[in-house]
Amino acid sequence: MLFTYNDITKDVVEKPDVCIIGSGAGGAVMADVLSGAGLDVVVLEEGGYYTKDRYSTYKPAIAMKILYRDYGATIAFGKNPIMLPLGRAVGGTTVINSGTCFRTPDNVLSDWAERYGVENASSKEMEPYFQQVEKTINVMPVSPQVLGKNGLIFKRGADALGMSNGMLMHNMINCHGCGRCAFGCPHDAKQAVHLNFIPSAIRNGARVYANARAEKITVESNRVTRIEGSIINEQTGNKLFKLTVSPKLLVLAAGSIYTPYILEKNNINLSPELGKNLTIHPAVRITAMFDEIIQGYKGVPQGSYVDAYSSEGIILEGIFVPPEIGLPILAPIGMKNKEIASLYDHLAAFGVMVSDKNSYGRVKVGVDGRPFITYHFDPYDFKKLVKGIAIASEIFFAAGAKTVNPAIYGIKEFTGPDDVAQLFTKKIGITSVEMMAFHPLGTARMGELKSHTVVNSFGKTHGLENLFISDGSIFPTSLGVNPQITIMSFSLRNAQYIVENKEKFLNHD
Amino acid sequence: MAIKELKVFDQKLYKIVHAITDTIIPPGGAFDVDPNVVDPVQLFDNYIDSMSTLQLKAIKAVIYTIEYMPMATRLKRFTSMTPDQRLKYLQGWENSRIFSKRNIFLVIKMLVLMSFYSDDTVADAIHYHPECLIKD
Repeated sequence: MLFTYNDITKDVVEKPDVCIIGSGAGGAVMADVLSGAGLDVVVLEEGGYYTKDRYSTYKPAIAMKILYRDYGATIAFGKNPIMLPLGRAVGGTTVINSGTCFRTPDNVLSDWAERYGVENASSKEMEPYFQQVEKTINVMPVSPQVLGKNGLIFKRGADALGMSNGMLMHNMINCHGCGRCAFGCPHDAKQAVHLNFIPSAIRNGARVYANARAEKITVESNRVTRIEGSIINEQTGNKLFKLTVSPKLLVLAAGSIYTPYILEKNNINLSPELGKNLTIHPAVRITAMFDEIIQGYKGVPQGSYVDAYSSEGIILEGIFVPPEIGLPILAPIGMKNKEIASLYDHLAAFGVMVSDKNSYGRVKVGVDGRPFITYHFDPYDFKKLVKGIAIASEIFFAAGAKTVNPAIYGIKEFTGPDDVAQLFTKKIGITSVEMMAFHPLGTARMGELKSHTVVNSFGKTHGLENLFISDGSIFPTSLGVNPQITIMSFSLRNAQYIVENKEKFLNHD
Repeated sequence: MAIKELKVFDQKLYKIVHAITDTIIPPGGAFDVDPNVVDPVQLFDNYIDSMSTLQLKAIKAVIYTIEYMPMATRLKRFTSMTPDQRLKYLQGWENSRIFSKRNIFLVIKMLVLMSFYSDDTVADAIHYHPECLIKD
């Protein structure tokens, strides 16, 4: 059953085998596997339950208000504050992500084994999990019919320069190319987890509570014994009813920001590493003006990519947003804003994303009681970002752009490829670049090296007997690619581990 | 213009925010919308209505800062300036060498423009008609 605040008329008391906090890529897979194995599962999701009927009525700015935390403006503070949009809905960030699917790179898996002692997670060992996840969410390449002109133009430029590029893999069925992946797919073509793993879990008997905020976690004798929280009115944010769950096992799957936050807030100090080592894949969007009409908002916004520099930790992926999301950032105030708005059909945009090699962040409980995120962007990684901006600019000019806006404060838009050299001759400070990030990972990293990790190779916390973590926070380092397949595959693997050892973790006498 | 259905701003704030929105998206230029049909202040107000009390306090504080900060150097409030002076003043925020000042203004600018360009009349005016590449 799935319950929203509308369905609940009194305080909720549950005593399941397993309680899962969070229903995104990690929590949904856990819920499906554990309920499928006959365990009694309760899922708590702070966000609401939304369907395509509701998405199709939301304009993008409204979707950001409803489907994202803090209007999409969660911020990682540092020398340069970076916006870090997070989803908040049944299905978590998979509801509002781009839909891009990458397996965990082989070199990343080897690195985790070598440096953190992560066991049983080689490419070969992960293969069946990748396959099963990809089958369930229907991973396939974006078809040229729905790519849209924004992706085609960038491909044209990359081809002209001989740079390796291709269509991205997405979790989709019958995509119409509506350009709305990040605002809730109006056709349910994007196979977010609320369309597959969550319904399957519900068929298995799991009870999913939307609008259910977990607040207090009680630990007694080294075991989690109780979770208390509230059922929230989706419209007003007011607390309606109390929620008490007393599970035999707790799985935290609230994401790399909220998982360490809720633990710290409850003084559950599992490890000095908890909340540290945050990686986010800093990114920037480059725009270009063309004579031809592009209408970049038609088609899959993130349909193609350039991987010519992926070995350096630089990846270029499509990104295009509708005017109400794009214009506030890229156009100045006054008449110029209206001028660019009227030329929006001629704009193209592409994203540059870098892996965090030396950069790191931290999640703590802030003075206002909310998560406080800090991030140190290392100059070495920043150089990669600037190089990525240069590459994207050159690709746009090769594709026939009239001008390119590098999104760097103090640097005027480029009017030709020769201007790109400025990126390497002028001093560009970290605070000059308007950045975003989309993939928070790493705040409760896994491994057998206890001094450096928070959970073991299967997500079980080192400190507590019946607490697992199953989200992007367990990954010891940056992936360098979009993380949803990695999160789901590790959740699948770790859920099977729990099932195989259920007597050990669930029974406590 | 009559103040209609505001959820966040009172009359005093309405006047300041009106001066701000009129500077960010001035009348005329590449396209125009009837101010009797599209009120950017109301769109802005309605858009931020579900923000937390703390967030709304911060937004109001920035708006008051924009209004009263010029008193220190120009002996004038923002709302008392001419349209040209207002534009130069807000461009000062937008292009400030002080990173935090630039970013604080960016928040206001984003919220104003996100709500403004979400309006159907405005979308029509800029010929923005989103549709899927493959029709049902």
